[in-house]
Amino acid sequence: MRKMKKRYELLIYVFITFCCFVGIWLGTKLIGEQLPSGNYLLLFILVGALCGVGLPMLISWSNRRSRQPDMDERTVRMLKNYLLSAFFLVSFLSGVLLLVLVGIGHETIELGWIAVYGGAIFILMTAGLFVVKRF
Amino acid sequence: MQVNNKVREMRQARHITQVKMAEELGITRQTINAIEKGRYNPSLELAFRLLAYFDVPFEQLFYIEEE
Repeated sequence: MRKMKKRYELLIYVFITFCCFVGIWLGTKLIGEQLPSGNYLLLFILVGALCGVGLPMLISWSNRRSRQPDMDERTVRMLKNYLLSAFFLVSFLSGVLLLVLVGIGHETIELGWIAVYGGAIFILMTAGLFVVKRF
Repeated sequence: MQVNNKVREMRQARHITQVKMAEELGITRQTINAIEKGRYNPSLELAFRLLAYFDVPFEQLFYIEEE
């Protein structure tokens, strides 16, 4: 059973890595030459995949030495509560930010800024997830 | 009305550490700590597992405190 679970976990990690590759390929296609290409691009993808997928995988495997589970019913409940509050907060703050921007006279938003905003929220929420999981 | 428990007393009376108990019940040490401090009420399933673990009736482990 545990071996099967491990295999599924590995498949999920492979799928996430594949999605990273597809996403970056799509990004370079859409944006064009503004992003690094060739060997540099491959290096960026590899470092990104290693840090984003390999590191959590390594941490998860090293934690398995302990017989204590990584998560239980309380952790799941806390994560659910955290995600619900974070979703509400992000939606509310985004709305307020939008109103403020309209209020001070902005009529358009640059796509790059939305990407930066989305990325920052994603990083903050992921960091928060780790904190809540350990709490 | 608050649900309280005697998990800490039961555990200490049996000289069991939180880590050992967590391993044997398949939950995290933080959860045991939260239950003992009354910060978290376990699910019905976990409550039954705790009762079976200590081999005591329900009313010996959990009780309601009227405010």
